[in-house]
Amino acid sequence: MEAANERRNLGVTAEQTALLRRIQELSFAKIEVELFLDTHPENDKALAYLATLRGELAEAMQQYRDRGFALTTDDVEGESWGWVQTPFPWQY
Amino acid sequence: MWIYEKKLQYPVRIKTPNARLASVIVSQLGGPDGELGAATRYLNQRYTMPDPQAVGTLTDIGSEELGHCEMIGAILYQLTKGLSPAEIKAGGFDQYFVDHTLGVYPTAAAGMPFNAASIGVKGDAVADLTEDLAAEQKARVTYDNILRLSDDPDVNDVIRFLRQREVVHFQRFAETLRHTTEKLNQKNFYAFNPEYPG
Repeated sequence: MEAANERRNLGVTAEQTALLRRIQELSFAKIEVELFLDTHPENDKALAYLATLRGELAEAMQQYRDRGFALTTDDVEGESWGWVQTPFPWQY
Repeated sequence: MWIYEKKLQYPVRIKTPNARLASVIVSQLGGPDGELGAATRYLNQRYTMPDPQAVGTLTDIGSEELGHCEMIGAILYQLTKGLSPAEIKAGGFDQYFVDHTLGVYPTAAAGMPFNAASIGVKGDAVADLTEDLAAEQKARVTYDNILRLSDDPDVNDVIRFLRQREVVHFQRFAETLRHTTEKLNQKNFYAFNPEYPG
């Protein structure tokens, strides 16, 4: 808990930025392949790629949560409501 | 329903504030071919679409456009953060500043506030999807124009990402239009396929 408070005070660390960057890359790839599947719903290659991305993204998001960072309100843990105590993405 | 994720779709990290650049980029938030118009157009057109493939594409692209509104908002916030009144005057940002200070307000660069008159919802799948193709091209041109006016590498990197999304969305809408047109009437090659049955 102390570590989490320390992070909040220090703002966004290089570690968080790197973990988030990985999530951004995978999320973008997922959005792109989902959009492709909207117009090519039977494309096996795209479906297989999506399955891989889902696994990798779930793993990256779990890593992010494990380090105490929150992507959605569901990820917020601890004794205080960290959602409003950590910066929003245009601020850093 | 939507779930907010505390991240931008693509990172925005602008090191140098620039009032003049903000005064033109604001058009991609609230201008005639901006991201707010795009999200509003697609998310409203989708209700009456006769084909689930069109509903899905409009929902997904419309949702992505909401994320693009946030990216443009981030660019505007970072380009104007901490500007002094002298810098605001020198950058020609004073006419925006007098009404909105440094708040992020959806307006066209020439001062026309966001207006739904610049988007269309016709209630006809072929008409609406044809509009969406033009909308993506018009947004692409606006990003081309921003790249012509900007020499900030931090800004241009993000603008190039957003420009590329217009190109991809155009492809998906073209496929959606073809699919929907064929479904409405496979034998009609001239795309006069009214959606409304009356």
